[in-house]
Amino acid sequence: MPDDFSLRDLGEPPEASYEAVRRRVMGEIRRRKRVRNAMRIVAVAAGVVLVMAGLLALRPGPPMPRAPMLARAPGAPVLTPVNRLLARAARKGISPSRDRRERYAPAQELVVRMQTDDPNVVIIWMVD
Amino acid sequence: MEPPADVLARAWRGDEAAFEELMRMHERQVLRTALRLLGRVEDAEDAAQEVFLRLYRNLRGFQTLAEIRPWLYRVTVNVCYDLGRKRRRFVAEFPEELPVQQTQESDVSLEQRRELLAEALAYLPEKERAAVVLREIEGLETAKVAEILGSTPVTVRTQVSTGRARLREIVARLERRKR
Repeated sequence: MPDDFSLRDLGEPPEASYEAVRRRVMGEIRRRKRVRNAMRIVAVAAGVVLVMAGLLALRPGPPMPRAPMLARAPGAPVLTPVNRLLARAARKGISPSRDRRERYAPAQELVVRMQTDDPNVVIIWMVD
Repeated sequence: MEPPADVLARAWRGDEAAFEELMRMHERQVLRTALRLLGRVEDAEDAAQEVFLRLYRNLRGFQTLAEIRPWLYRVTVNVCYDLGRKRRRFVAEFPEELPVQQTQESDVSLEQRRELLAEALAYLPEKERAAVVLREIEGLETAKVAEILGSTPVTVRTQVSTGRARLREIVARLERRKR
C-alpha cells in the first residue's frame, strides 16, 4: 500500500441512502406523534370519566325512610321468696317482719317513662 | 435557505420541515461516519436513523446549531458501537496466515484500493477505528476527537498512528489474498 493513501478517498455513501434515512426518520417521528396524541386523548377521556364518577358519588341521594325504633322494656322485678327473707332476717338478728317492713315499706307506685326518638311517643311502664 | 438559528427554533416548536432541514444539514456527517464504522450501508442507515431520532428527542437541549455537530459525532460513535456489537460487525482479528505472492502495487486500481481500504477498516479494533475515522476521514482535530471519544489527545494520537500502520498492513494482505 502506498504511503500517500488517503482515507478521505473512500467516497461517500450512496445518495439514495440519505433520502432513505430522512424518509424513515420522518415516518417514525410521525408515527410516534400519532401514538402520543392517541394516548393524550385516552388520558383526557379517562380523566373526564373519573371526574363525572366523582361528581355522581358526591351528589345527595333521595331521603331514606326511617327505620322503626324498638324500645326495650326493662326486665320483670325479682321476687324474693319468703324463706329467703326469713333467712336474711335471722342473719341480721331482727324480726322478719321488721326486715320486711324496712325492705318493703309501703311502696309508691313506680312509673317508668321511657322516651323514644320520636317526642310524640312515650312508653309508660307502671309497676304496682 | 433560512438562517440556521431559525431552523433550530422552528424545530424546537415541533415544525417537521425544520427538523428535516436540520437532518439535511448533518446527514452526510452522520451517515458517512456510520458507514466507515460499520462497513455496511444497511447498518449505517439503521444507525443514522437512530441518531436522528435521538436528536429529535434531545432537541431542546441545544441552544445553538454549533452544539449539534460534536453531539452528533459522539452519539453516532456510540450508536455504531451498540449496533456493531449487536450485529457482530466489530469482528475480527485479521487472519494472519494468508498466501503471500509478490505483486506490483500498480496492479491494483484506485477503485479496488478503496474497496480494500473500506474492508480493512472493519478489521481495526472499535476504538482505534473510531479514532481513525474521526481524525482521518472526518478531519477533526485531535483534541475534538478525544473529546468525542471521552479520551485524551495523546491516546487518540497513538490510536490513529497504530490504526494507520495496521490498515497499511491489512490492505497489503488483502491485496495479496485477492490475487
